[in-house]
Amino acid sequence: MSTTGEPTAAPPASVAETAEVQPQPRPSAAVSAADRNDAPSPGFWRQFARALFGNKFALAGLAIVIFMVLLCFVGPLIYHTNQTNAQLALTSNVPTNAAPSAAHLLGTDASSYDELGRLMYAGQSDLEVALAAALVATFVGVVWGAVAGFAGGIIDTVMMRIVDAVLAVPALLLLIVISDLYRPSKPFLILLIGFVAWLVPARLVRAETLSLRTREYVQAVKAFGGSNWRAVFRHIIPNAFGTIVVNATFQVADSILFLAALGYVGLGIQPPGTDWGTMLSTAVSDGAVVNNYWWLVWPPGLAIVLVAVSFNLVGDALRDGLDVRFQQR
Amino acid sequence: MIGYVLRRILQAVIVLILVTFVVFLLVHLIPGGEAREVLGPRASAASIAQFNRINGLNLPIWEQYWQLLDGYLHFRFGYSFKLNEPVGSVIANRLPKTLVLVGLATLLAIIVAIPLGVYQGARRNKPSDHVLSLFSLFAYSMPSFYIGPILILYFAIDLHWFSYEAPQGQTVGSILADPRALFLPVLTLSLISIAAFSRFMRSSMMDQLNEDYVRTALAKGASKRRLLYGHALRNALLPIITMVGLSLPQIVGGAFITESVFNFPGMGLLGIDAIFQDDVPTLVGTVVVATVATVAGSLIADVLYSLLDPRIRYS
Repeated sequence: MSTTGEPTAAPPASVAETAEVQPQPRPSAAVSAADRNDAPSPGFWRQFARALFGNKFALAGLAIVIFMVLLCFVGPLIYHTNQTNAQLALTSNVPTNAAPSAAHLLGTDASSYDELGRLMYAGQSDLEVALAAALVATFVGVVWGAVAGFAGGIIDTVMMRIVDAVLAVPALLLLIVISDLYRPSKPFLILLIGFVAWLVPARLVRAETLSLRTREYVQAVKAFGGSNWRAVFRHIIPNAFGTIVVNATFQVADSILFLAALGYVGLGIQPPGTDWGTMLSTAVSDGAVVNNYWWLVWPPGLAIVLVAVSFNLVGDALRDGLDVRFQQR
Repeated sequence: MIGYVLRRILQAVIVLILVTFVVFLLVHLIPGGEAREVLGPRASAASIAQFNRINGLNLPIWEQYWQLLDGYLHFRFGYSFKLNEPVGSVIANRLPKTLVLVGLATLLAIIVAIPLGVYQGARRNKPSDHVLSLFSLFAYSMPSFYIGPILILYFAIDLHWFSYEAPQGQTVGSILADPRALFLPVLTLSLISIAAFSRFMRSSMMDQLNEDYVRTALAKGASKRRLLYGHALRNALLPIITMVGLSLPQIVGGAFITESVFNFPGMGLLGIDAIFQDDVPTLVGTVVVATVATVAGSLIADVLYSLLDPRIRYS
C-alpha cells in the first residue's frame, strides 16, 4: 500500500542491486575503504546513468536545465546589461517597454531594464534558491526520517506526528506570512523554503529506513559493535540514496514554484535583486498584459514552467529507472 | 473505530495549537510590535503604552497567547485597523466563497483526473500515456498566476466565452448563479490537482494491475474490460480519498494565488490584500482559519477512509 507511508513489501531495485554487489556484511574496522565504497555503489550509478540517458524525456529535461544554467550564469558575461541601476529609465536614453530589437533581444521593461539580461539576472537567484532550498530540505528530511525510522518506538511516533502535523498546514500560507513579517534575505529565503519542504523526504526516508534496518548488513553493523550512528549514516542512508536523489529532483521543481508564488505576491527576492515570479508580477501590474507587451509576459513565465517541468521530467525518469516507489507523485 | 477517530481528532487539535502558537510567536516578534504598526513611526512612548494596555499587549506572553486562543474559540479574530472592521466578520463573509471555489475545483479535478489516470494506467508506456503524462507535468509546473492571465486573454478577452473576472456577488448563491464568471478560476485552481490526481490514479491503477487477484481473474478468463473496471478500478479508487485529504493544503494554498489573479472575493484575496496593506491581524486571521479548514478537511478524509477500508485503523 503506497499511500500509508508504511514500508513497501518489495525492496527497491537499487537496494537489491547493492546487496548483490556486496553480499557479505563486512566488519567495519578492517575494511573502511570498502565500507566507504558501499555508499552509492557503482551499480547504483550505472543504473542512474541508464535511467537518465536512456529516457528521451529525461534527456530533454537535462538539456533544458543545462541550457538555463548556462544562460543565467554564463550569458551575462557575453550579453552585458545594466540590471542594478534603479534610475535607468531616467538617466539613460533606453526606451521603456520597447519591443525586441537588435539592441535589446527581448525588448525592455517598464524600468528600461533589458528583458533578456533581467531574465538571466533573475534566473541566477531562482536557480540558486531552488537548488539550495532543495538541498536544505533533503538534508533535514533525510536525517529526520532516518533517525525516526531507525530509533522506532516513541521517538519515531513523536517525530512522525510532527511531520504529519506540519504537512497538514498549507505550506504556501506559512511561507507568505513569514516572508511578509520579516522580508527575508536570500539565504533566509533558502532556509524558509527548505523548512517547508523537508516533510516529504522525511516521510520517504523513514519508510525506507523501516525496511532497511532489518536487513542483514545493518544487523551485522550492530553485531560487530558499530554504533547506531554508523548504521544510519554509513549504511541506511546510502542505501536509500535512490529515493533521496529522486525526491531532491522533485524538490528543486517545487522550490522554483514556491519562489515564483512568493515573487508573485511581492515577497520574492527584494530589490535590487529579482526573480522570475517578481518579474512576471511586475509586468502584469505595469500593464504588460493589457498593452500586449508579450515580451514581458511570456519569457519569465516560460522560464519558470520550463525549469520546473525539466526537473520533474528528470525526477520521473530517475524514479522509473531506479524503481523508487513514491506515495504521491 | 471510535478510538481511531478520537486519536485523529486529538492529533488535529495538537496541530492547531502548534500552528496558532507559531503564528502568534511570529507576529509577536515583529520589531516594534503592533502598536507602531497602527500608530505610526512617530507615536510617543506614552501613546504606545496606552495602546498596549488597552489591547492587552502588556500582559505576559503566555497570557496573550491564551487570550488569542480564547478569542479564536469564540470566533473573535482581532480587529483590523486597516479595514476598520473586526477580522471575524470579514472572514465570515469571505470563507464560504473560498469553500465554494476550493470545493468545485477539487470536484472538477476528481471528475477529470480519475478517467485520465485509469486510461493511463491501463495503457501505460504507450504513446498516449506519454503524451498525457507530459500534459500533466506541464499542468503541474504551471503557476496559476501564469496560466490564469493566459486563460483570461484567450477565453475571456478574445473569445468572450467566459468572464474575465470572478463573480463579485456578496452571497454564495449569487456566486454560484454566475457560472460564466466562475469557470475560469475553478479551472485554473483545479489544473494542478488534475495533474497530481491523475498521476496518483495512474500509479494506483498500475499497482492494482500487478496484484495477484488480477492475475487470478485473468487466469479464470475474465475479459480485459472486466479486469480493468470490475476489479482493478474499484480497488484503485479507494486511496483517492487519502490523496484528496493530503492535497488539501496545496489546493488551499493555490486558492490564495488564484483568487488574487481573478479578483475572487474570498479568503485568499483578503490575505493577499492584507500583505500589501501590512494588515497583520487580517493576514493572521485568514491564515489561521484557512489552516483550520485544511486540517478539518484532512481529518474528514482520514476518517472517511478508515470507514471504507477498515485495514487502515490497525496499521
